[in-house]
Amino acid sequence: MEQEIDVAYVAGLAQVALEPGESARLQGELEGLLQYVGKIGEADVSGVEPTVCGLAAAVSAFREDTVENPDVREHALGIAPERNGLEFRLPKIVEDA
Amino acid sequence: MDIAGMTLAVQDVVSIAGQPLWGGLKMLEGYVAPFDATVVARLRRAGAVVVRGGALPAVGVDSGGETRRSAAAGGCVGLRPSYGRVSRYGVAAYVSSMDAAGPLAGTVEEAATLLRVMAGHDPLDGMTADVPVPDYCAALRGGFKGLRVGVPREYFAKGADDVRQAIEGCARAGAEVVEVSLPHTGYAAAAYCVIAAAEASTNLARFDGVRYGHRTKEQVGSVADLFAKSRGEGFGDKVKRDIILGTYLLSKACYEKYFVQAQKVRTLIRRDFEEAFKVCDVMMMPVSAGGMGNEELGIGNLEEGEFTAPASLAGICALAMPCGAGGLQVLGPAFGEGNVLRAAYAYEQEVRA
Repeated sequence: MEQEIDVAYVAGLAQVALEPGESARLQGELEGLLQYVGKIGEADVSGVEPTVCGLAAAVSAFREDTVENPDVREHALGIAPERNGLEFRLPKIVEDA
Repeated sequence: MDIAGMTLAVQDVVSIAGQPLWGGLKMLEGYVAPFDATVVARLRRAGAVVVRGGALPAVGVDSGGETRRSAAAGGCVGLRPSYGRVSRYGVAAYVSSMDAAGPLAGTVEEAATLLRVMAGHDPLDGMTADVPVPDYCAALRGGFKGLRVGVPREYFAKGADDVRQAIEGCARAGAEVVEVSLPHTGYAAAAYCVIAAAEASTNLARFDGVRYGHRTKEQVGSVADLFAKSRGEGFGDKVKRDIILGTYLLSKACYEKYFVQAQKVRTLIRRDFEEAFKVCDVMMMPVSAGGMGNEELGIGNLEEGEFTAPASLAGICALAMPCGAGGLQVLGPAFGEGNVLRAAYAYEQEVRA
């Protein structure tokens, strides 16, 4: 059977590094899932608009543009993998030219 | 019933200030929630003591039926509120168009009490609806008299004799039972899988090891490498599979074929319910089809959601409670929690007792 999904390539797009062997396992699982979900193609959707969310009632999605959250800077920096004073610290990355 | 003084556990995807989130996920190691989720704040204001949950918390999040299936299996009552009924502020986003926080309780009355506290408009969740919150506890006492209970035939193809008998009991107790049809039910689990993977892959894109969560200790050669290694190490197998599947389904080649198609199927499923609720107030059906799929492919899990995914896709409310092998599910239209709780209470008190 021709493979529908190139797992290694899509994992790259998704920015997920895979262990050796993981790619082959996922290949089988994802082929199976795609085969399963393919059945939605059988539904007659001519003239049907897509539904993007489950909400039926009117919502008031707008609010005043005011700051409501307290200052969470210390908290945010406190849970960072590494910090440097008031900055997030990242590893030194030097890319090849 | 009053929740003041009660100790209530919430699932680990609901933020409690000062506590970790998403316990099982290595990607969020070291993360501490800076604030309470709105549902937590509301429960606290009502006098409850809120703690991190065990196996069966009092507040759970139902995307495709998780709360309902664990309730039915665990012998309690689980309610998935209508989309927009309960705030998701502070709830870890997975399937944003379907995530719904709701009560898990020992009895229908407890579920009604909890929902009344949790529900309502929240300026911090733009998708909560400004719809008044009725007194769900008062609604419980209505009984079956004058209540039309729809029985969708597609849910009974594999038997479900226990649920059928339960519905017969409801009819004897005064419910008007009508047969209805939800013809697109068979597509629901597949449509849910497509939309859930797509939304999960998008939601989980924020975890990159830069500002919080797991960061790889390995040498990295580029920023993309830092993201990819951190994510590869931090996410578990199932999450990685969802992310890769979702990324693929949202790619140019698949977008129309799978993602938009699933959203159109979602419309068909929503319309099925709109039609059916013209002739009934609530519906009763099993929670699970009971069929076993291929666990290795994860398809077993998908088919497990065959009977719970439709309500999620339609954004309507659904309650699950124990009944025989498969569990009883009671569905209502959007913001129809009152009648759902009323029917479930009447079943619990008059039929099952």
